[in-house]
Amino acid sequence: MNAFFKSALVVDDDRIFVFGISRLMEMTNFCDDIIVCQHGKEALDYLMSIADEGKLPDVILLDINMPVLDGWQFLDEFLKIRSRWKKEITIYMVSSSVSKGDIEKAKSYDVIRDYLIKPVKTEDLNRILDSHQEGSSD
Amino acid sequence: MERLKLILNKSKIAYLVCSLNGEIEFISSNFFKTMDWDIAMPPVMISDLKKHVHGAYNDAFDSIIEIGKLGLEESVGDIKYKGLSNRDLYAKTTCSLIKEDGQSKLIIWFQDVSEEKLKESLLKISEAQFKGAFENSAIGMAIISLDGKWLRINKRIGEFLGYTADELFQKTFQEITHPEDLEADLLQVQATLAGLIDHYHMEKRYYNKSGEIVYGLLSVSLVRDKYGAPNHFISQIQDLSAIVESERALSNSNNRIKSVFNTTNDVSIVSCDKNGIINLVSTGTERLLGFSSNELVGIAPIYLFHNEDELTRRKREFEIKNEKSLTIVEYFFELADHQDYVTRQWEYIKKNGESVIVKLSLAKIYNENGDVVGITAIATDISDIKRIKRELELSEQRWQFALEGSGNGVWDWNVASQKVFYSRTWKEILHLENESLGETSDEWLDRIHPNERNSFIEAMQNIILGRSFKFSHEHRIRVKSGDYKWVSVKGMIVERLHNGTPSRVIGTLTDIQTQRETLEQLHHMLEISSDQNKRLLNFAHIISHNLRSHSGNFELLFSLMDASESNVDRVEIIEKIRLVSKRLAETITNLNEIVSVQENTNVWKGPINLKNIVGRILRSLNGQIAAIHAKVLLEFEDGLEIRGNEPYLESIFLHLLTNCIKYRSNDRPLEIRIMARNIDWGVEVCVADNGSGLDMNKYGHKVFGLYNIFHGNPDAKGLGLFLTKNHIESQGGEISMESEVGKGTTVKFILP
Repeated sequence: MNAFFKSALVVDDDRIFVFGISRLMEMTNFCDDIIVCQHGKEALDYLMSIADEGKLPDVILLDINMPVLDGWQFLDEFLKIRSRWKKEITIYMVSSSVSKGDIEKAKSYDVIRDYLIKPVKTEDLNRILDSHQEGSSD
Repeated sequence: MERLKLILNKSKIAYLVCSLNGEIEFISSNFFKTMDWDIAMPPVMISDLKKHVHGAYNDAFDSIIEIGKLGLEESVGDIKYKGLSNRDLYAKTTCSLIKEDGQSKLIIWFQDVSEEKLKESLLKISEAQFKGAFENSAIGMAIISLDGKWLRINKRIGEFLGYTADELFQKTFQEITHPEDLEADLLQVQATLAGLIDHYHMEKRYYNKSGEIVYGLLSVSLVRDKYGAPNHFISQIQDLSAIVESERALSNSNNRIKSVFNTTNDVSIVSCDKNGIINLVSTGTERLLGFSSNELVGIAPIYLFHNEDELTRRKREFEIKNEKSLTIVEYFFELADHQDYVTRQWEYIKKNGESVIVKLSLAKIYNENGDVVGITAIATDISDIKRIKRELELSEQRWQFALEGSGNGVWDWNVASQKVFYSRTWKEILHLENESLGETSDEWLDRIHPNERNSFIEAMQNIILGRSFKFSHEHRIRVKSGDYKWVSVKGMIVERLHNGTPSRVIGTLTDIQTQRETLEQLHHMLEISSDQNKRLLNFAHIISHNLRSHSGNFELLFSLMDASESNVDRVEIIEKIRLVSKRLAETITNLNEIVSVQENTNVWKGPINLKNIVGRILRSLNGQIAAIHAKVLLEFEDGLEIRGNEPYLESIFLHLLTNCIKYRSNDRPLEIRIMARNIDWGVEVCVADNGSGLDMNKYGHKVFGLYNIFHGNPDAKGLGLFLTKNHIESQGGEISMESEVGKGTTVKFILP
């Protein structure tokens, strides 16, 4: 049985979280491939390195607090280069920050579909899947 | 006979009984007293009695005795006798014939009528005098019957009315009286007849013979007979025609003057005679001073109203100045010639004791011969003027007092004379209260700090040139010690010339030095506290974030654990849970460290040997430094004196040097330079490396933030620089960082 998404990119420096989310994705049959980057810079480099547009991730789970390039800095860079691709990439912010400032800021980005507060549960992933199901049935 | 004697002795009347041949047989006890006779020499014969009769009365006496002897009737007559001390006495002498014991006897009795005789003679004299006076009087006189008929008139009446006596006797006074005056006259007549009054005066008009009106001052008295019944009137009529005419002419002007006097409440006019006794008082006196003219005229001295002390003092001053001694009245006459500004103002005491300030004008009164006969004193109430003046002065004083009392200096600038008055507090603010200060604006301008002097002069010029009417300015001013202090100046135009040019500007000077200092301190405190606040918020944020991320991980792992189906899985998850637990413990340790630094805002400071500390740290890092072949250069200036907290400094150097090692470049061997030098307010320390560097545009704002990690370095905790900054600031220092990617990083901090 094929998973819902072909591939998902997790950008987070917390290895425990990466371990957990990977397991949850398997359990919800979220995607076939999980790519993990430790910070924004690594994620950008990864995206830029993909030659075949079909191999781009369908969805990105993006942490805010990371070294080198944090979530916001990644987003700013990502917006600059996204026009290169026709494929629509959906981004979810995933953070343990409950700061109003962060949540409001996330809303100001069109490219961000939703803001998930850690810990992420199977229901969260299922909801993402549901929303995409509806979107595709239109 | 004996019985007769007894009766006669008891009578009050003096009796003699004698024989027909003149021998006196009995003398009653009252005889001596009535006849003023020497009791030691009683009369023996009638002839003895006759010796005491006044010569003119001898015949009368003889005839009384002879007629008495005839026995037909009592003979009686008033005889003048000579008393003991040749006193004249009149006695009514009566002689009668009686039969006693068959013999005829003469009985003679005497009654003292001296008093009656005297009156009679006086009356005769006065009647004669009255007649003379009546006829020759300078005023008209008339005797008028009770029903108004003229009975007798004198010459003057005839002249006055133009009638002869006979013509007038045909008329009543009612007929020639002006009808408008008749009723008043008749009323008085009735009142007199009724006994309510015994005389009256009135001015009345008569018609003279030719029908013209003549004016007379009528005085009427009622004459009663000896029983008290009204008998006739005596009228005196004074011709007033001439007086009335001139009076009428005067009255108009008089009325005008009077109305002036009477409408001016606050003017008192009093005149006195040569002796200083008041003889004329205006109605204003009554209103102003409360004395009535009855209480003053003819009684009170001209100086009655004066404040005694003031009067005595001024008189003495006058006496000393003019070297003469004067009575108060003399002083007043002198004053009339020598009044000056001061002696025009006096304090009067009203009848009720109240004081009133008057302006007094004294003028001498001269008679037609040019002799001084008195003084007129005109006193004008100027209490109100004085009071208003005094209140004005008071209010100005009060205003100054209030300002000065509140610690504000006052200055008063006369633009025309260029004089500036500086109040005591003004000088006190500059600590110049004991210095002599000129009244020039330079005293001020020269003391103003050069930075603010021009703007102050400009503000003053704007006032003079009429661009503004008030101004405020803050400037530093040099005080006595030579230090500057901040003052605030406010001023405004209070007087102008007729053409509108400002002529007087007054204002205040307020010491705002402490206010300024307080404000600066406040700003400083605000900066510190807002910085602290920011840090606190940041801190709280970070704690919540960190703890949340750990708890989130726990939750995630436990949910995986529940869902796991194999033991291998579970072992792996438990391993992860242990890792999270370990990280949580680390986080808490770090937070403890941060809290302890934050708590110690006032850390203990002592003398520090910078070289020793750096040496110690380098030794502890020796292994790492050697392993990477790093080179460390020390450039310390001599005579560095630092006061600080040693453990903190060790921690600072440890963090900085560890960072140098952690973030070294892989392209070149690490080189660290540690420099220290003295600067203005402390010691500046630089730790510079040639490491990988940091993009300050990207990260500059958060290099010293908590849990900010910029390199993907697995050892980074995001704590070091945060703690370093806190350590330095807790000792009153500052820290900054410069860095360039690929070149290196320099951290610079200053400790005071």
